[in-house]
Amino acid sequence: MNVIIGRYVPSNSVIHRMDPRAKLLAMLIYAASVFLANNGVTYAMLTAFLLILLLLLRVPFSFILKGLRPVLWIVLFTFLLHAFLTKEGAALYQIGELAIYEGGLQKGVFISLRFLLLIAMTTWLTISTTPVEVTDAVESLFGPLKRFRVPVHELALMMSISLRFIPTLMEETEKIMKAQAARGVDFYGGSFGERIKAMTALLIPLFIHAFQRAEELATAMEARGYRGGEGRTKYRLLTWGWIDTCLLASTIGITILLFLFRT
Amino acid sequence: MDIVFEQVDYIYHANSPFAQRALYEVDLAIEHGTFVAIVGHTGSGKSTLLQHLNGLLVPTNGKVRIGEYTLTNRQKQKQLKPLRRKVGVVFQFPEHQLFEETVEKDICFGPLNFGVSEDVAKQKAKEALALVGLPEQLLSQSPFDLSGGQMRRVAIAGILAMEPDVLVLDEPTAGLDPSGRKEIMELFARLHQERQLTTVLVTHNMEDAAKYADYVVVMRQGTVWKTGTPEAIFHDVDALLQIGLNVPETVLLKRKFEEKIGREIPSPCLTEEQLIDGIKALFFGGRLS
Repeated sequence: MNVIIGRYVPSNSVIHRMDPRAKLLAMLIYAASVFLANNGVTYAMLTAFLLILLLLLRVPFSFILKGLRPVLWIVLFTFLLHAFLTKEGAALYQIGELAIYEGGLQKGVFISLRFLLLIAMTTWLTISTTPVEVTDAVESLFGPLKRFRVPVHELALMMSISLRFIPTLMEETEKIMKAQAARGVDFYGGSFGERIKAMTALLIPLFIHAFQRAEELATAMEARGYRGGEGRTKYRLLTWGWIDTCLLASTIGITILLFLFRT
Repeated sequence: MDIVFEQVDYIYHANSPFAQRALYEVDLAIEHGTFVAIVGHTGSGKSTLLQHLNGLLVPTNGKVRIGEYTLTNRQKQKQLKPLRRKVGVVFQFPEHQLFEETVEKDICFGPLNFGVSEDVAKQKAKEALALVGLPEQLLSQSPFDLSGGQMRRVAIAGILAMEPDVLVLDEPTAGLDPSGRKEIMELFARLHQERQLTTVLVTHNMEDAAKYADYVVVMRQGTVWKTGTPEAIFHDVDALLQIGLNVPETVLLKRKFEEKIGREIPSPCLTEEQLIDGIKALFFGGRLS
Protein backbone atom coordinates (compact mmCIF):
# COMPACT_ATOMS: atom_id res chain seq x y z
CA MET A 1 0.00 0.00 0.00
CA ASN A 2 1.51 3.25 -1.09
CA VAL A 3 -1.27 5.47 0.12
CA ILE A 4 0.02 7.33 3.13
CA ILE A 5 -2.74 9.95 3.29
CA GLY A 6 -4.70 9.52 6.46
CA ARG A 7 -2.28 7.12 8.00
CA TYR A 8 -1.13 7.30 11.59
CA VAL A 9 2.61 7.00 12.21
CA PRO A 10 3.48 6.24 15.81
CA SER A 11 6.05 8.45 17.52
CA ASN A 12 6.44 10.15 20.87
CA SER A 13 6.73 13.73 19.67
CA VAL A 14 5.20 16.76 21.37
CA ILE A 15 2.55 16.84 18.69
CA HIS A 16 1.67 13.17 19.15
CA ARG A 17 1.11 13.73 22.87
CA MET A 18 -1.12 16.75 22.44
CA ASP A 19 -4.83 16.73 23.12
CA PRO A 20 -6.57 15.65 19.90
CA ARG A 21 -9.15 18.40 20.42
CA ALA A 22 -6.40 21.01 20.23
CA LYS A 23 -5.00 19.44 17.08
CA LEU A 24 -8.38 19.14 15.43
CA LEU A 25 -9.26 22.75 16.25
CA ALA A 26 -5.84 23.96 15.09
CA MET A 27 -6.28 22.06 11.83
CA LEU A 28 -9.75 23.51 11.23
CA ILE A 29 -8.69 27.08 12.04
CA TYR A 30 -5.60 26.75 9.89
CA ALA A 31 -7.59 25.29 7.00
CA ALA A 32 -10.01 28.21 7.17
CA SER A 33 -7.28 30.80 7.38
CA VAL A 34 -5.45 29.40 4.36
CA PHE A 35 -8.22 31.06 2.36
CA LEU A 36 -7.36 34.45 3.88
CA ALA A 37 -3.89 34.53 2.37
CA ASN A 38 -3.65 36.53 -0.81
CA ASN A 39 -0.10 37.83 -1.09
CA GLY A 40 3.50 36.68 -0.72
CA VAL A 41 3.88 37.65 2.95
CA THR A 42 0.76 35.85 4.09
CA TYR A 43 1.59 32.70 2.17
CA ALA A 44 5.10 32.77 3.59
CA MET A 45 3.72 33.00 7.12
CA LEU A 46 1.38 30.07 6.56
CA THR A 47 4.15 27.97 5.07
CA ALA A 48 6.59 28.77 7.88
CA PHE A 49 4.00 27.92 10.53
CA LEU A 50 3.22 24.60 8.87
CA LEU A 51 6.88 23.72 8.48
CA ILE A 52 7.43 24.24 12.21
CA LEU A 53 4.47 22.00 12.99
CA LEU A 54 5.76 19.33 10.59
CA LEU A 55 9.25 19.49 12.08
CA LEU A 56 7.82 18.97 15.55
CA LEU A 57 6.27 15.70 14.36
CA ARG A 58 9.66 13.99 14.38
CA VAL A 59 8.62 11.78 11.48
CA PRO A 60 11.07 11.50 8.57
CA PHE A 61 10.37 14.30 6.14
CA SER A 62 10.69 12.06 3.12
CA PHE A 63 7.75 10.17 4.52
CA ILE A 64 5.52 13.24 4.65
CA LEU A 65 6.53 14.08 1.10
CA LYS A 66 5.63 10.59 0.03
CA GLY A 67 2.20 11.18 1.50
CA LEU A 68 1.79 14.25 -0.66
CA ARG A 69 2.87 12.51 -3.82
CA PRO A 70 -0.54 11.20 -4.90
CA VAL A 71 -2.00 14.71 -4.90
CA LEU A 72 0.99 16.21 -6.68
CA TRP A 73 -0.68 15.68 -10.06
CA ILE A 74 -3.74 17.62 -9.02
CA VAL A 75 -1.50 20.40 -7.74
CA LEU A 76 0.46 20.49 -10.98
CA PHE A 77 -2.72 20.46 -13.02
CA THR A 78 -4.19 23.37 -11.04
CA PHE A 79 -0.96 25.27 -11.47
CA LEU A 80 -0.90 24.83 -15.24
CA LEU A 81 -4.56 25.65 -15.59
CA HIS A 82 -4.17 28.92 -13.70
CA ALA A 83 -0.88 29.78 -15.30
CA PHE A 84 -2.28 29.51 -18.81
CA LEU A 85 -5.79 30.80 -18.34
CA THR A 86 -5.23 33.91 -16.25
CA LYS A 87 -4.46 36.92 -18.41
CA GLU A 88 -3.23 39.58 -16.03
CA GLY A 89 -0.06 41.66 -15.90
CA ALA A 90 2.75 41.56 -18.39
CA ALA A 91 3.18 38.63 -20.77
CA LEU A 92 6.25 36.68 -19.80
CA TYR A 93 6.42 34.03 -22.42
CA GLN A 94 4.66 33.43 -25.66
CA ILE A 95 4.32 30.14 -27.53
CA GLY A 96 2.02 30.67 -30.46
CA GLU A 97 -1.49 31.16 -29.14
CA LEU A 98 -0.53 30.33 -25.57
CA ALA A 99 0.93 32.98 -23.38
CA ILE A 100 1.98 33.01 -19.77
CA TYR A 101 1.29 36.23 -17.91
CA GLU A 102 2.87 37.41 -14.70
CA GLY A 103 -0.47 37.46 -12.93
CA GLY A 104 -1.22 33.94 -14.09
CA LEU A 105 2.08 32.62 -12.86
CA GLN A 106 1.53 34.20 -9.48
CA LYS A 107 -2.01 32.94 -9.21
CA GLY A 108 -0.91 29.45 -10.24
CA VAL A 109 1.75 29.38 -7.55
CA PHE A 110 -0.64 30.65 -4.88
CA ILE A 111 -3.49 28.31 -5.67
CA SER A 112 -1.31 25.23 -5.85
CA LEU A 113 0.43 26.29 -2.64
CA ARG A 114 -2.96 26.62 -1.01
CA PHE A 115 -3.73 23.06 -2.05
CA LEU A 116 -0.44 21.77 -0.73
CA LEU A 117 -0.83 23.57 2.58
CA LEU A 118 -4.30 22.18 3.14
CA ILE A 119 -3.25 18.65 2.38
CA ALA A 120 -0.05 18.88 4.38
CA MET A 121 -1.99 20.17 7.38
CA THR A 122 -4.47 17.31 7.29
CA THR A 123 -1.59 14.89 6.86
CA TRP A 124 -0.02 16.49 9.94
CA LEU A 125 -3.17 15.71 11.89
CA THR A 126 -3.57 12.12 10.72
CA ILE A 127 0.09 11.26 11.13
CA SER A 128 0.07 12.40 14.75
CA THR A 129 -3.44 11.37 15.80
CA THR A 130 -5.04 7.95 15.76
CA PRO A 131 -8.53 7.77 14.23
CA VAL A 132 -9.93 6.88 17.65
CA GLU A 133 -8.46 10.04 19.13
CA VAL A 134 -9.99 12.08 16.34
CA THR A 135 -13.38 10.57 17.05
CA ASP A 136 -13.02 11.28 20.75
CA ALA A 137 -12.17 14.85 19.93
CA VAL A 138 -15.17 15.15 17.62
CA GLU A 139 -17.48 13.73 20.25
CA SER A 140 -16.14 16.07 22.89
CA LEU A 141 -16.17 19.18 20.71
CA PHE A 142 -19.66 18.58 19.40
CA GLY A 143 -20.93 17.52 22.83
CA PRO A 144 -22.93 20.72 23.37
CA LEU A 145 -25.06 19.86 20.33
CA LYS A 146 -26.65 17.04 22.36
CA ARG A 147 -28.97 19.65 23.80
CA PHE A 148 -30.44 20.12 20.37
CA ARG A 149 -31.02 16.36 20.13
CA VAL A 150 -28.17 15.79 17.75
CA PRO A 151 -27.07 12.16 18.33
CA VAL A 152 -23.42 13.12 18.82
CA HIS A 153 -22.42 9.97 20.64
CA GLU A 154 -24.02 7.68 18.08
CA LEU A 155 -22.44 9.56 15.20
CA ALA A 156 -19.05 9.40 16.87
CA LEU A 157 -19.50 5.69 17.50
CA MET A 158 -20.42 5.11 13.86
CA MET A 159 -17.36 7.04 12.85
CA SER A 160 -15.05 5.08 15.10
CA ILE A 161 -16.54 1.75 14.07
CA SER A 162 -16.13 2.52 10.40
CA LEU A 163 -12.58 3.71 10.97
CA ARG A 164 -11.87 0.64 13.04
CA PHE A 165 -13.00 -1.64 10.23
CA ILE A 166 -11.10 -0.03 7.41
CA PRO A 167 -7.93 -2.05 8.05
CA THR A 168 -9.99 -5.18 8.63
CA LEU A 169 -11.79 -4.75 5.35
CA MET A 170 -8.54 -3.99 3.56
CA GLU A 171 -7.02 -7.14 4.96
CA GLU A 172 -10.04 -9.12 3.95
CA THR A 173 -10.00 -7.61 0.47
CA GLU A 174 -6.40 -8.66 0.10
CA LYS A 175 -7.14 -12.17 1.31
CA ILE A 176 -10.09 -12.67 -1.02
CA MET A 177 -8.16 -11.19 -3.93
CA LYS A 178 -5.41 -13.68 -3.29
CA ALA A 179 -7.81 -16.58 -2.98
CA GLN A 180 -9.51 -15.65 -6.25
CA ALA A 181 -6.19 -14.99 -7.97
CA ALA A 182 -5.24 -18.52 -6.99
CA ARG A 183 -8.38 -19.63 -8.84
CA GLY A 184 -7.19 -17.88 -11.97
CA VAL A 185 -8.79 -14.45 -11.65
CA ASP A 186 -6.72 -11.73 -13.24
CA PHE A 187 -7.31 -8.48 -11.35
CA TYR A 188 -4.80 -6.55 -13.40
CA GLY A 189 -5.95 -7.08 -16.94
CA GLY A 190 -8.46 -8.79 -19.19
CA SER A 191 -11.49 -7.56 -21.09
CA PHE A 192 -14.23 -5.41 -19.57
CA GLY A 193 -16.47 -8.41 -18.97
CA GLU A 194 -13.69 -10.32 -17.28
CA ARG A 195 -12.98 -7.39 -15.03
CA ILE A 196 -16.62 -7.15 -14.00
CA LYS A 197 -16.55 -10.83 -13.18
CA ALA A 198 -13.35 -10.36 -11.20
CA MET A 199 -14.96 -7.56 -9.21
CA THR A 200 -18.03 -9.66 -8.35
CA ALA A 201 -15.75 -12.46 -7.18
CA LEU A 202 -14.21 -9.95 -4.82
CA LEU A 203 -17.15 -7.80 -3.74
CA ILE A 204 -19.75 -10.44 -3.01
CA PRO A 205 -17.69 -12.31 -0.41
CA LEU A 206 -16.54 -8.99 1.00
CA PHE A 207 -20.08 -7.70 1.48
CA ILE A 208 -21.36 -10.93 2.90
CA HIS A 209 -18.66 -10.86 5.52
CA ALA A 210 -19.12 -7.21 6.30
CA PHE A 211 -22.79 -7.84 7.05
CA GLN A 212 -22.03 -10.92 9.11
CA ARG A 213 -19.45 -9.00 11.06
CA ALA A 214 -21.80 -6.09 11.69
CA GLU A 215 -24.34 -8.46 13.13
CA GLU A 216 -21.76 -10.15 15.31
CA LEU A 217 -20.52 -6.79 16.54
CA ALA A 218 -24.04 -5.67 17.43
CA THR A 219 -24.64 -8.88 19.36
CA ALA A 220 -21.33 -8.58 21.15
CA MET A 221 -22.07 -4.99 22.14
CA GLU A 222 -25.53 -5.81 23.38
CA ALA A 223 -24.23 -8.78 25.33
CA ARG A 224 -21.94 -6.40 27.17
CA GLY A 225 -24.77 -4.07 28.04
CA TYR A 226 -24.30 -1.31 25.51
CA ARG A 227 -27.27 1.04 25.58
CA GLY A 228 -26.05 4.15 23.83
CA GLY A 229 -24.22 7.14 25.22
CA GLU A 230 -26.36 7.80 28.28
CA GLY A 231 -24.31 7.58 31.46
CA ARG A 232 -21.37 6.05 29.67
CA THR A 233 -17.90 6.77 31.01
CA LYS A 234 -14.70 7.04 29.01
CA TYR A 235 -11.64 4.85 29.16
CA ARG A 236 -9.39 7.41 27.51
CA LEU A 237 -9.84 10.79 29.14
CA LEU A 238 -8.81 13.81 27.15
CA THR A 239 -6.61 16.19 29.13
CA TRP A 240 -6.01 19.73 28.04
CA GLY A 241 -2.57 21.04 28.99
CA TRP A 242 -0.70 24.31 28.59
CA ILE A 243 0.93 23.03 25.42
CA ASP A 244 -2.49 22.57 23.84
CA THR A 245 -3.37 26.13 24.73
CA CYS A 246 -0.07 27.17 23.11
CA LEU A 247 -0.91 25.39 19.89
CA LEU A 248 -4.37 26.86 19.72
CA ALA A 249 -3.16 30.34 20.63
CA SER A 250 -0.44 30.31 18.01
CA THR A 251 -2.86 29.13 15.35
CA ILE A 252 -5.26 31.91 16.25
CA GLY A 253 -2.24 34.25 16.29
CA ILE A 254 -1.41 33.29 12.72
CA THR A 255 -5.00 33.93 11.69
CA ILE A 256 -4.88 37.42 13.23
CA LEU A 257 -1.57 38.12 11.49
CA LEU A 258 -3.12 37.04 8.21
CA PHE A 259 -5.94 39.50 8.72
CA LEU A 260 -3.38 42.23 9.30
CA PHE A 261 -1.11 41.48 6.39
CA ARG A 262 -3.53 40.48 3.67
CA THR A 263 -4.21 42.95 0.98
CA MET B 1 6.95 -30.46 -10.01
CA ASP B 2 10.03 -29.94 -7.93
CA ILE B 3 9.99 -26.82 -5.82
CA VAL B 4 13.24 -25.11 -4.84
CA PHE B 5 13.74 -21.97 -2.76
CA GLU B 6 17.16 -20.35 -3.12
CA GLN B 7 18.16 -17.69 -0.62
CA VAL B 8 14.68 -16.22 -0.58
CA ASP B 9 14.09 -12.98 1.32
CA TYR B 10 10.69 -11.43 1.54
CA ILE B 11 10.01 -7.95 2.88
CA TYR B 12 6.47 -6.61 3.23
CA HIS B 13 6.06 -2.96 2.24
CA ALA B 14 9.68 -2.81 1.13
CA ASN B 15 11.13 0.71 1.02
CA SER B 16 8.57 2.26 3.32
CA PRO B 17 8.53 3.01 7.05
CA PHE B 18 6.25 0.00 7.41
CA ALA B 19 8.80 -2.38 5.93
CA GLN B 20 8.69 -5.71 7.66
CA ARG B 21 10.90 -8.60 6.90
CA ALA B 22 9.14 -11.93 6.87
CA LEU B 23 11.62 -14.34 5.29
CA TYR B 24 15.37 -14.48 5.74
CA GLU B 25 17.48 -16.36 3.20
CA VAL B 26 15.21 -19.36 3.00
CA ASP B 27 16.62 -22.42 1.30
CA LEU B 28 14.22 -25.26 0.80
CA ALA B 29 13.75 -28.11 -1.63
CA ILE B 30 10.53 -30.03 -2.07
CA GLU B 31 10.77 -33.00 -4.36
CA HIS B 32 8.00 -33.92 -6.75
CA GLY B 33 5.42 -36.22 -5.22
CA THR B 34 6.26 -35.66 -1.57
CA PHE B 35 3.90 -34.63 1.19
CA VAL B 36 5.51 -31.84 3.16
CA ALA B 37 4.19 -30.28 6.35
CA ILE B 38 5.28 -26.79 7.30
CA VAL B 39 4.94 -26.08 10.99
CA GLY B 40 5.90 -23.10 13.09
CA HIS B 41 4.64 -20.35 15.30
CA THR B 42 2.26 -17.61 14.22
CA GLY B 43 4.48 -15.06 12.51
CA SER B 44 7.23 -17.53 11.68
CA GLY B 45 6.76 -16.92 7.97
CA LYS B 46 4.73 -19.99 7.02
CA SER B 47 2.00 -18.12 5.20
CA THR B 48 4.48 -15.88 3.44
CA LEU B 49 6.41 -18.90 2.27
CA LEU B 50 3.23 -20.55 1.06
CA GLN B 51 2.22 -17.55 -1.05
CA HIS B 52 5.45 -17.85 -2.99
CA LEU B 53 4.37 -21.24 -4.25
CA ASN B 54 2.01 -19.82 -6.86
CA GLY B 55 3.48 -16.38 -7.26
CA LEU B 56 0.98 -14.46 -5.15
CA LEU B 57 4.13 -13.07 -3.63
CA VAL B 58 7.46 -12.97 -5.39
CA PRO B 59 10.74 -12.96 -3.49
CA THR B 60 12.30 -9.60 -2.67
CA ASN B 61 15.67 -11.28 -3.10
CA GLY B 62 16.61 -14.75 -4.25
CA LYS B 63 14.53 -17.05 -6.40
CA VAL B 64 11.89 -19.71 -6.28
CA ARG B 65 11.82 -22.45 -8.88
CA ILE B 66 8.62 -24.40 -9.38
CA GLY B 67 8.94 -26.96 -12.14
CA GLU B 68 9.86 -24.98 -15.22
CA TYR B 69 8.89 -21.64 -13.68
CA THR B 70 11.33 -19.34 -11.94
CA LEU B 71 10.11 -16.51 -9.76
CA THR B 72 12.29 -13.52 -9.00
CA ASN B 73 11.48 -9.96 -8.01
CA ARG B 74 11.11 -9.01 -11.67
CA GLN B 75 8.16 -11.28 -12.20
CA LYS B 76 5.11 -9.73 -13.88
CA GLN B 77 1.75 -10.73 -12.40
CA LYS B 78 0.28 -11.45 -15.81
CA GLN B 79 2.60 -14.29 -16.70
CA LEU B 80 1.66 -16.28 -13.64
CA LYS B 81 -1.64 -17.75 -14.76
CA PRO B 82 -0.26 -21.03 -16.13
CA LEU B 83 1.63 -21.53 -12.89
CA ARG B 84 -1.53 -20.93 -10.87
CA ARG B 85 -3.36 -23.64 -12.76
CA LYS B 86 -0.73 -26.15 -11.73
CA VAL B 87 -0.49 -25.03 -8.12
CA GLY B 88 -3.82 -25.10 -6.32
CA VAL B 89 -3.92 -23.21 -3.06
CA VAL B 90 -6.54 -23.86 -0.40
CA PHE B 91 -6.36 -20.84 1.85
CA GLN B 92 -7.31 -20.67 5.48
CA PHE B 93 -11.08 -20.53 5.77
CA PRO B 94 -11.52 -21.11 2.04
CA GLU B 95 -15.30 -20.79 2.40
CA HIS B 96 -14.73 -17.03 2.41
CA GLN B 97 -14.03 -17.15 -1.30
CA LEU B 98 -17.44 -18.50 -2.32
CA PHE B 99 -19.47 -16.01 -4.28
CA GLU B 100 -21.53 -17.63 -7.01
CA GLU B 101 -25.26 -18.27 -7.09
CA THR B 102 -24.92 -22.03 -7.13
CA VAL B 103 -22.41 -24.52 -5.85
CA GLU B 104 -21.89 -25.79 -9.40
CA LYS B 105 -21.01 -22.36 -10.74
CA ASP B 106 -18.64 -21.72 -7.90
CA ILE B 107 -16.75 -24.94 -8.42
CA CYS B 108 -16.63 -24.29 -12.17
CA PHE B 109 -15.20 -20.83 -11.62
CA GLY B 110 -11.57 -21.93 -11.34
CA PRO B 111 -11.54 -24.33 -14.31
CA LEU B 112 -13.36 -21.76 -16.50
CA ASN B 113 -10.80 -19.12 -15.62
CA PHE B 114 -8.11 -21.45 -16.84
CA GLY B 115 -9.83 -21.91 -20.17
CA VAL B 116 -11.67 -25.20 -19.74
CA SER B 117 -14.89 -25.47 -21.73
CA GLU B 118 -18.17 -25.21 -19.86
CA ASP B 119 -19.22 -28.84 -20.33
CA VAL B 120 -15.90 -30.14 -19.11
CA ALA B 121 -15.99 -27.74 -16.17
CA LYS B 122 -19.43 -29.00 -15.15
CA GLN B 123 -18.22 -32.57 -15.36
CA LYS B 124 -15.24 -31.69 -13.21
CA ALA B 125 -17.48 -29.92 -10.71
CA LYS B 126 -19.55 -33.07 -10.33
CA GLU B 127 -16.45 -35.17 -9.78
CA ALA B 128 -14.91 -32.73 -7.35
CA LEU B 129 -18.09 -32.55 -5.30
CA ALA B 130 -18.16 -36.33 -5.05
CA LEU B 131 -14.49 -36.32 -4.05
CA VAL B 132 -15.14 -34.06 -1.07
CA GLY B 133 -18.01 -36.30 -0.04
CA LEU B 134 -21.00 -34.13 -0.79
CA PRO B 135 -24.20 -35.30 -2.54
CA GLU B 136 -24.84 -34.23 -6.11
CA GLN B 137 -28.12 -32.49 -5.21
CA LEU B 138 -26.12 -29.67 -3.70
CA LEU B 139 -24.89 -28.56 -7.13
CA SER B 140 -27.96 -26.43 -7.77
CA GLN B 141 -28.09 -24.90 -4.28
CA SER B 142 -26.71 -21.58 -3.19
CA PRO B 143 -23.39 -22.02 -1.39
CA PHE B 144 -24.58 -19.57 1.26
CA ASP B 145 -27.38 -21.89 2.35
CA LEU B 146 -24.96 -24.63 3.32
CA SER B 147 -23.52 -25.37 6.74
CA GLY B 148 -20.03 -24.17 7.58
CA GLY B 149 -18.48 -27.60 7.06
CA GLN B 150 -20.23 -28.07 3.72
CA MET B 151 -19.12 -24.62 2.56
CA ARG B 152 -15.54 -25.56 3.38
CA ARG B 153 -15.86 -28.71 1.28
CA VAL B 154 -17.39 -26.86 -1.64
CA ALA B 155 -14.52 -24.36 -1.55
CA ILE B 156 -12.00 -27.19 -1.51
CA ALA B 157 -13.84 -28.82 -4.40
CA GLY B 158 -13.41 -25.55 -6.27
CA ILE B 159 -9.65 -25.96 -6.04
CA LEU B 160 -9.63 -29.68 -6.78
CA ALA B 161 -11.66 -29.13 -9.94
CA MET B 162 -8.69 -27.20 -11.33
CA GLU B 163 -6.77 -30.49 -11.17
CA PRO B 164 -3.53 -28.99 -9.93
CA ASP B 165 -0.24 -30.89 -9.78
CA VAL B 166 0.76 -29.22 -6.55
CA LEU B 167 -1.75 -28.83 -3.75
CA VAL B 168 -0.98 -26.21 -1.15
CA LEU B 169 -3.07 -26.27 2.00
CA ASP B 170 -3.07 -23.51 4.60
CA GLU B 171 -4.58 -24.99 7.74
CA PRO B 172 -7.41 -26.57 5.82
CA THR B 173 -9.01 -28.00 8.95
CA ALA B 174 -8.99 -24.91 11.16
CA GLY B 175 -12.31 -24.54 12.94
CA LEU B 176 -13.68 -27.97 11.99
CA ASP B 177 -14.85 -30.57 14.48
CA PRO B 178 -12.58 -33.61 15.02
CA SER B 179 -14.48 -35.95 12.71
CA GLY B 180 -14.68 -33.31 9.96
CA ARG B 181 -10.99 -32.67 10.38
CA LYS B 182 -10.13 -36.31 10.02
CA GLU B 183 -12.32 -36.72 6.93
CA ILE B 184 -10.77 -33.75 5.20
CA MET B 185 -7.22 -34.82 6.01
CA GLU B 186 -7.94 -38.38 4.84
CA LEU B 187 -9.26 -36.90 1.60
CA PHE B 188 -6.05 -34.97 1.02
CA ALA B 189 -3.93 -38.02 1.86
CA ARG B 190 -5.93 -40.12 -0.60
CA LEU B 191 -5.71 -37.51 -3.36
CA HIS B 192 -2.01 -37.21 -2.76
CA GLN B 193 -1.66 -40.92 -3.40
CA GLU B 194 -4.10 -41.30 -6.28
CA ARG B 195 -3.13 -38.25 -8.28
CA GLN B 196 0.53 -38.34 -7.32
CA LEU B 197 0.42 -34.76 -6.18
CA THR B 198 3.02 -32.74 -4.44
CA THR B 199 1.28 -31.62 -1.28
CA VAL B 200 2.36 -28.80 0.98
CA LEU B 201 0.44 -28.55 4.23
CA VAL B 202 0.79 -25.61 6.58
CA THR B 203 -0.53 -26.61 9.98
CA HIS B 204 -0.47 -26.03 13.70
CA ASN B 205 -1.61 -29.53 14.28
CA MET B 206 1.39 -31.71 15.01
CA GLU B 207 -0.67 -34.89 14.90
CA ASP B 208 -1.56 -34.18 11.27
CA ALA B 209 2.03 -33.31 10.43
CA ALA B 210 3.26 -36.54 12.02
CA LYS B 211 0.62 -38.70 10.45
CA TYR B 212 0.48 -37.52 6.87
CA ALA B 213 3.76 -35.86 5.97
CA ASP B 214 6.87 -37.44 4.44
CA TYR B 215 8.89 -34.45 5.54
CA VAL B 216 8.39 -31.77 8.14
CA VAL B 217 9.76 -28.26 7.76
CA VAL B 218 9.98 -26.27 10.98
CA MET B 219 9.94 -22.52 10.46
CA ARG B 220 11.17 -20.08 13.05
CA GLN B 221 11.47 -16.30 12.83
CA GLY B 222 11.43 -16.22 9.07
CA THR B 223 13.93 -18.99 8.49
CA VAL B 224 13.85 -22.73 8.06
CA TRP B 225 14.88 -23.96 11.47
CA LYS B 226 14.94 -27.67 10.72
CA THR B 227 13.78 -30.14 8.13
CA GLY B 228 13.51 -33.87 8.36
CA THR B 229 11.23 -36.86 8.47
CA PRO B 230 8.53 -36.73 11.13
CA GLU B 231 10.44 -39.43 13.06
CA ALA B 232 13.58 -37.28 13.16
CA ILE B 233 11.82 -34.01 13.89
CA PHE B 234 9.62 -35.31 16.68
CA HIS B 235 12.39 -37.37 18.19
CA ASP B 236 13.94 -34.24 19.63
CA VAL B 237 11.02 -33.35 21.88
CA ASP B 238 12.86 -30.84 24.07
CA ALA B 239 14.18 -28.76 21.19
CA LEU B 240 10.67 -28.33 19.80
CA LEU B 241 9.15 -27.52 23.17
CA GLN B 242 11.90 -25.03 23.78
CA ILE B 243 11.02 -22.97 20.71
CA GLY B 244 7.40 -23.04 21.80
CA LEU B 245 6.09 -25.73 19.48
CA ASN B 246 4.20 -28.84 20.38
CA VAL B 247 4.83 -32.45 19.59
CA PRO B 248 2.09 -34.99 18.96
CA GLU B 249 0.27 -36.11 22.12
CA THR B 250 1.34 -39.67 21.48
CA VAL B 251 5.01 -38.69 21.56
CA LEU B 252 4.49 -36.97 24.91
CA LEU B 253 2.67 -40.01 26.26
CA LYS B 254 5.47 -42.24 25.05
CA ARG B 255 7.93 -40.10 26.92
CA LYS B 256 5.98 -40.11 30.17
CA PHE B 257 5.46 -43.82 29.88
CA GLU B 258 9.15 -44.45 29.36
CA GLU B 259 10.05 -42.28 32.37
CA LYS B 260 7.66 -44.23 34.60
CA ILE B 261 8.72 -47.73 33.67
CA GLY B 262 12.29 -46.96 32.76
CA ARG B 263 12.25 -48.68 29.41
CA GLU B 264 12.13 -47.50 25.88
CA ILE B 265 9.26 -48.13 23.52
CA PRO B 266 10.87 -49.27 20.26
CA SER B 267 8.74 -47.04 18.03
CA PRO B 268 8.56 -43.30 17.28
CA CYS B 269 4.88 -43.40 18.33
CA LEU B 270 3.79 -40.71 15.88
CA THR B 271 0.23 -41.97 15.71
CA GLU B 272 -2.14 -43.69 18.10
CA GLU B 273 -1.72 -46.98 16.25
CA GLN B 274 2.05 -46.86 16.53
CA LEU B 275 1.79 -46.06 20.24
CA ILE B 276 -0.57 -48.96 20.88
CA ASP B 277 1.64 -51.33 18.91
CA GLY B 278 4.71 -50.06 20.72
CA ILE B 279 3.22 -50.64 24.16
CA LYS B 280 1.87 -54.03 23.10
CA ALA B 281 5.35 -55.00 22.00
CA LEU B 282 6.70 -54.09 25.42
CA PHE B 283 4.12 -56.10 27.33
CA PHE B 284 3.57 -59.07 25.10
CA GLY B 285 7.00 -59.24 23.58
CA GLY B 286 8.11 -60.91 26.80
CA ARG B 287 10.32 -58.08 27.91
CA LEU B 288 7.96 -57.05 30.68
CA SER B 289 6.67 -59.99 32.60
